[in-house]
Amino acid sequence: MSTATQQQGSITMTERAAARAREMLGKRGTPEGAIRIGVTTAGCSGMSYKLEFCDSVAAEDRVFDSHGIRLVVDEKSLLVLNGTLVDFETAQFRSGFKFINPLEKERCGCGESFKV
Amino acid sequence: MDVLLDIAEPGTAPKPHDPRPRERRRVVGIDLGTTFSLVAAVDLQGKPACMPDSAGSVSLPSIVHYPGVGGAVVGQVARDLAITHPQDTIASVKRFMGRGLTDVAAGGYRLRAGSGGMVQILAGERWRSPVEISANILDELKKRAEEALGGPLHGAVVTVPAYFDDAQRQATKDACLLAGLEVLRLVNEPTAAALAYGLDRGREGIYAVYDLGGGTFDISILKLARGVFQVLATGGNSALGGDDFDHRLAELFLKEMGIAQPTPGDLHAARRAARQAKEGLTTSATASVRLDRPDGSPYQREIDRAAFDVLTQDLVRATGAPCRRALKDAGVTLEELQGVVLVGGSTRMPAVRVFVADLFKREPLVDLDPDQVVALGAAIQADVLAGNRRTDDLLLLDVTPLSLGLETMGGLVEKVVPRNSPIPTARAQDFTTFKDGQGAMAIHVVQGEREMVDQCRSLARFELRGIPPMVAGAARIRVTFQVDADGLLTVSAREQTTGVEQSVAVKPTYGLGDGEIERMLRAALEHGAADLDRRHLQEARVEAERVLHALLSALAADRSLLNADEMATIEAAMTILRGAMAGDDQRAIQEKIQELDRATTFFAQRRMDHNIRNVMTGRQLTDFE
Amino acid sequence: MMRDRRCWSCGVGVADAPFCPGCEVIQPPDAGVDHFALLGVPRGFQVDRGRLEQGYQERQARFHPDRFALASATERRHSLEWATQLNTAWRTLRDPVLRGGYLVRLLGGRGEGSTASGGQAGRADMNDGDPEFLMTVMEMREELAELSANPVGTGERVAQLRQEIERRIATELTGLEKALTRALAATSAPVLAEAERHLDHLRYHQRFIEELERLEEELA
Repeated sequence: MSTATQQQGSITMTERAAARAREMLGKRGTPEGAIRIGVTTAGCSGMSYKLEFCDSVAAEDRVFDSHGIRLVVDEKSLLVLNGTLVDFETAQFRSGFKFINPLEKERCGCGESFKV
Repeated sequence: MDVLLDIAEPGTAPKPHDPRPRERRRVVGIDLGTTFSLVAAVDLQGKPACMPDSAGSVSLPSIVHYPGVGGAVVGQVARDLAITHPQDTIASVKRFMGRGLTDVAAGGYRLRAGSGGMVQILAGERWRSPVEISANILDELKKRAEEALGGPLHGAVVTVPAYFDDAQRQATKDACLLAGLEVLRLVNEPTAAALAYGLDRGREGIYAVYDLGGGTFDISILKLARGVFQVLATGGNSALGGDDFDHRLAELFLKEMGIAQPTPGDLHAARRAARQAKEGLTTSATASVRLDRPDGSPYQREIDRAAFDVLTQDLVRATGAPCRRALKDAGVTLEELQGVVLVGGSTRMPAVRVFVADLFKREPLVDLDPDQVVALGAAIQADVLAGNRRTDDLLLLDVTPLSLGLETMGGLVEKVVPRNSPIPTARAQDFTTFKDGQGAMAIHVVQGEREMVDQCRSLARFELRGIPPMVAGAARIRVTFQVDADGLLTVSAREQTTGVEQSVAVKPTYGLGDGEIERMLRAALEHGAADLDRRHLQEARVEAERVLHALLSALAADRSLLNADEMATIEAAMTILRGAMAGDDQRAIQEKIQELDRATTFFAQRRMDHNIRNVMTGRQLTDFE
Repeated sequence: MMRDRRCWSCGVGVADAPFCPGCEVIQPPDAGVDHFALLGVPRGFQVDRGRLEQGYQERQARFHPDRFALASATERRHSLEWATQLNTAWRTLRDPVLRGGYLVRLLGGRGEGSTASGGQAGRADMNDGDPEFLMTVMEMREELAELSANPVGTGERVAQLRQEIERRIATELTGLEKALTRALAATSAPVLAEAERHLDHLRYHQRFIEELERLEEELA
């Protein structure tokens, strides 16, 4: 039994991010689908966030529910994403999802890669 | 800058620093004005909007200051510097675009004729072309747009006064090239304004757009129907604008102050005071003026609106003839007009509004900001050209503002493309030789409405050679004029009867020749390249610092995961990187960063596995309990 | 008349289609097609203005270079050729004098000065057998020259001159229409001399109006 499992990690979305994700899943024709979040690594020069539609959940994946959206994270990524809040931001001329990660310590100049 | 992500299809999420595939292309509309310049884009709601600077202002003063050393300063800061550095601070550069020394008033600047007769201005200890100065303004707008849109621009629609001739258009396009902007299209300012107006309310019918800017006046008659914006006629004066009202008032001040030979500083101060008084008079009946005389004593005066109107009434009235001519060319009567739209900051002057209402027998429309409407329309057209709009519901059909012709015998002009011809257009005219055995023919291309060549603008001269010997009048030389959708002209000539094909294509030479543009681009690149190299070097060093720092903290935590050999390899790679950081070679530093990355990939992997094992172990323990 | 033409891009036979039926890519326009057919209006001196405008706009909406801003260089070139040809056709058909001259040319007459390729030689040749017309024209020109030399207070006379020239133009246009209608209906080689005479007169009147307008502007 794993009530403890859920306590060991958490990935959440803000309500507006969940609403946007739901809209995009609907548009894609997979309204019941999940969203995969993760990191890609590149040696020591940093990592970057990954956000994809998810069609299959693997054994080493963990699944979180946030405002009705299933968020799938592989265990390795969870190590550096634990506690992350995914938000959706709208400026006048651009919009998109933003990762608020308490473990994140530095970012490269352009904001595309980070370190923990 | 925060990176904002989209949800990608599985396996297609971009790697860091990869270009992102985007649904919408980042494009903007730019109003490169005489006194102010603006940049706009279509926002996420599908509405065009101007982009503000960090202080919230959307209007960038079109003023560039060149310090002796360092880069150009553009905008409000440059405007403030104009008082103390009048000659190194260039305002209203638009009136010099594509112009020769004899066409323009110096206005206190140090001018000379550059290559092709084009004006050059001495500022910041160097002779600069108006193209180059305009490029500095465009550069500032480009930076602003890239910040707001979150990445490099795909292209821009740039507006020009409808009455700009070919040389002025070519110069504008060259300035964009120099600023690294891809020009999607040059669009006439009143046409852009009509686009913003027409879309705003879904208006249909025939409209007049009266556009009095800082340095130019345009009138356009357009028909709006089913999303097609068709220009029926256009006219104007590319050397009449709000600046002239300032100058008129400034002359009065200088005369009253007893300054017969004003210094550049005197001129700047008087014009600045004049502009403030003019702006004050749009809302109040009187304005007060304060200036310092050369002896330090104060000059003070009140001016009321009536006096200002008398002083400038010939300027306002000068806009009447082009309006009447445009209506006639369009074949439109006043009764057929649906409305008159006011564009340009100078239409805020009450006397202008009264004049327009009287001329067109109706109250003009002013519901969109006359300063912003041109940039907003350009943004819409950019969105259309970039394919960002889902529906093909908009089309602009524009015309040539001025007649294009050739010099014939006796210095007369033979018109080949009449003014207000819809563009793109191609027209041909046949000419013949006037002497027996004449082997060459001079082709002189001019633009303008007058009958004599010397009263028109000379655009290009070239010679068609190799005409086979024939009696006078037997040769048939066909000269073809082609005007593209930007309003730019190409001329070619060919001898037809003998089947000997001679074809010459010329671009107007009054602007910048291709060679000169190339040289300037190279100079700008070399100049900018030096700055850029320094910046890249600095960035590489910072990046190296960060990588080393991250690695050191990882080693402090998990050194136990490495054996002695592995540790030695990593330390060697770190030493090499530190060595590269001491040097000036940015590329070497980046190479060494990558080498260190490769040398430590296994370590990063091992740390992650180790951490996961710890977590797994923890979970199993928990589960047991 | 179907042409044997293949798509420049994919090689499929396209005949007269503006877009390839196979790959949907824009084809070069047929330079031989006449202005009436190009804009979809019936051939004749009278043209339904609304139909002309709509035909022009609808076609520009399909072929204008703005529609091909992101397409290949060849596609952009063909779109430019289409838009140029549409503009020439529209400009010619909306103006009665240009339209008349164009019709005369279509019927095999000289139709000088009426189209893009109008020749220089013989341009201002005056028909010798028309002394009465010549006399009137010269008198009017002389008066205009006198008025231009001393324009103050001539407003009323200038307005009268305008009325007179406009009346003359209307008469010539009516004559041109009759002559062209006959020529268009002719079963054998049409007689075009009368239409050409009206066109010559109209060109003289147009030049007179241009000079008159210069004077009017001065007076305004």
